[in-house]
Amino acid sequence: MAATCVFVEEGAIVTATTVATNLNFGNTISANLNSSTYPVTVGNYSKSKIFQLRFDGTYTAISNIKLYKSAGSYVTGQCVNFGTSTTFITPTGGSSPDSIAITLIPASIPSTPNVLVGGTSSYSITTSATLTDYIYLQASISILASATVTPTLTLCATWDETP
Amino acid sequence: MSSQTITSVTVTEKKTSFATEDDWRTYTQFTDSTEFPSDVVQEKLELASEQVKKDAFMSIRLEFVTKDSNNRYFVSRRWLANAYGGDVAHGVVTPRDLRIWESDETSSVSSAFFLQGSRVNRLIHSIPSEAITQFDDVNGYFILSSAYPTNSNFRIFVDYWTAGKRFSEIQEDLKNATILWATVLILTQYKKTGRIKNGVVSLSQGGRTINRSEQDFDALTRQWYNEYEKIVNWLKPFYGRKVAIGKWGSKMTENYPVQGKMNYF
Repeated sequence: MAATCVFVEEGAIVTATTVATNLNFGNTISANLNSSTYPVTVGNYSKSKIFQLRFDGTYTAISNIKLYKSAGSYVTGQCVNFGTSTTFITPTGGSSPDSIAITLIPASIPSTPNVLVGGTSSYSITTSATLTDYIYLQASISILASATVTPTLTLCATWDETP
Repeated sequence: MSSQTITSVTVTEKKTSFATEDDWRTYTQFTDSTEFPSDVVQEKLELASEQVKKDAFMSIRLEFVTKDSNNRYFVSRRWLANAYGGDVAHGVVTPRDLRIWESDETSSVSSAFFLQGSRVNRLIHSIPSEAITQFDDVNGYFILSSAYPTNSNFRIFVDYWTAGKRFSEIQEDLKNATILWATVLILTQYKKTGRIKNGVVSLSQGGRTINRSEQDFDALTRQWYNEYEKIVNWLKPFYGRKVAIGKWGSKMTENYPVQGKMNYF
């Protein structure tokens, strides 16, 4: 069986992990949240989404992991920032930008791996160490935005697998 | 190469008032949308929010600010609040609540007159709020993008609004004050347009006369007004020095009725 990848989201503390079925942004720290219940006020940041990629199944090694926005468009004033870290920091939001999610998530597949393991891009994930570093995402909703439901963004993780 | 996808949606909001129509109907129990139509309630809530801002916040105009070594411009007050006007997100302070100006005083004559308090040759130009790259409403500072000021000789001035208390702490009071003032506005309009049509307050038919008591109606309106006053009196920033009879109060140890221990902001 080939490797399968799941998004494991952390909560306010690092041990509160949930398998994410979506990465909706909101004004609270919660996995799989209903974004209508927790809207982000314009001029603010959403609470950071912090997650790891976990590779289950049977394989020898996983490498070259990339994450990018494969579909969906931003509304005016909206962007999603991205970053990785070996350490977990409690999610931030509101008027405070995340200190790790500071670069715009790529809108096409990047040429080099941007999801790290142990802080480096030269790695192999094996069945005894199945997790990537922490991935931080944060939506920035500037004062240019209006009250709206943004179009659905699709985030895509790709990887190379040694069977 | 293998792949896995996941989706993400964000809902954004921009509140036009400190209170919603649902908040108003729950608080007042005026649930009849025929007597109190939604569009009227919404309009009055927006008007009431502006009144609350005028009564509960202090506006500070054209305050001169200089930046520290971290490029942070500090204003003199903490606890920033929402600006006047509708184009702000009510209930949360955003860069839209700061009005920043750069002042062109580059002539030597202008500089000399500026020190004397004159405004000769002093041209101010608005810096867009989009140029604020970072700000802190609790500590009262902001950072501008490198594009501003457009000339290094230009001084920076700021209009801002302060609540005198941490903004997140007074959300419930702002909401209630808005509801109360909106009710005063609605009842006042109702009295003018619905209750006393063509000045008639008394109807007679078949030997019976029904009098509408306008005094009681006014007393009802006054009751909402008094509740509003009570809240905004507490909300208003206090800038002054309280004294105990016959002596200055101790700054650090004594408690005062409005704000607790005296402190320096």
